[in-house]
Amino acid sequence: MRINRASRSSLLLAELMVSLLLFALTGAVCIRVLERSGEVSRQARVLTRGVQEASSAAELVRAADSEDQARALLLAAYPQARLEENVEIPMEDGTLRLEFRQDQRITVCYITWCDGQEPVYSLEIHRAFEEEGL
Amino acid sequence: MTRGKSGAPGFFTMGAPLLLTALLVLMFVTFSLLSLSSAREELRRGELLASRNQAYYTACNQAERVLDRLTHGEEPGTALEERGDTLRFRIPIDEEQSLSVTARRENGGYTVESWTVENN
Repeated sequence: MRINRASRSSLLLAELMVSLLLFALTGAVCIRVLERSGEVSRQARVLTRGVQEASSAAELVRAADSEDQARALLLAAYPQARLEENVEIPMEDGTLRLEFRQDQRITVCYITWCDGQEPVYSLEIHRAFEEEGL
Repeated sequence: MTRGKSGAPGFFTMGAPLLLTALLVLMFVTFSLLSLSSAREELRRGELLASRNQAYYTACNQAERVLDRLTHGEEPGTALEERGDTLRFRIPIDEEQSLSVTARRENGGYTVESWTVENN
């Protein structure tokens, strides 16, 4: 009887140890998977936000009749915008950058959404502005 | 060791911890895989939205260049449908959609009357 009880106890102990090991291993793997899904989810959020912000800025540029008017519209929509040679609009979760370049008669506006310093999404808008606006 | 009144092993003796752990493990694995697949789907949708948006603005840029060429009396580089002072052209966005632009000739230039996305 004593041997039987000891054998049962050691079996239970072995079972508990196996359970604990299994739990720890799976827990470690699951934590890695959850971390990865959090990272992927964050990437998706940043990209979607970038698409939205770049599209909003693109529509403002497309609504303007000149580069100056585009800058004025951007400043009205984003009062925090810094209008220098390029336009930089800092936001809570990223920065929108707009760069205007001339390609013959066409003004090309490069719109980039940056997460920190890293560009996430870019759009190129071509506008044939009036001659005096060039 | 816990034993029932009959002397048989109780619930928390043989097999129960392993069974409980197996259930917990199954639950963890299911939740983490669901979470990962949901996040990947979210990213896939984001990328789809980004590429569609890119295709739309590429078509808009092409349309803008066509109007500029027309204004300066150059070859538009696309098929035009002309009715009097009004002309219409289509720029493909993707396999399913295209950008349809209608413009009216006015004072040596063109005024856009409609700028719409149409299904092919």
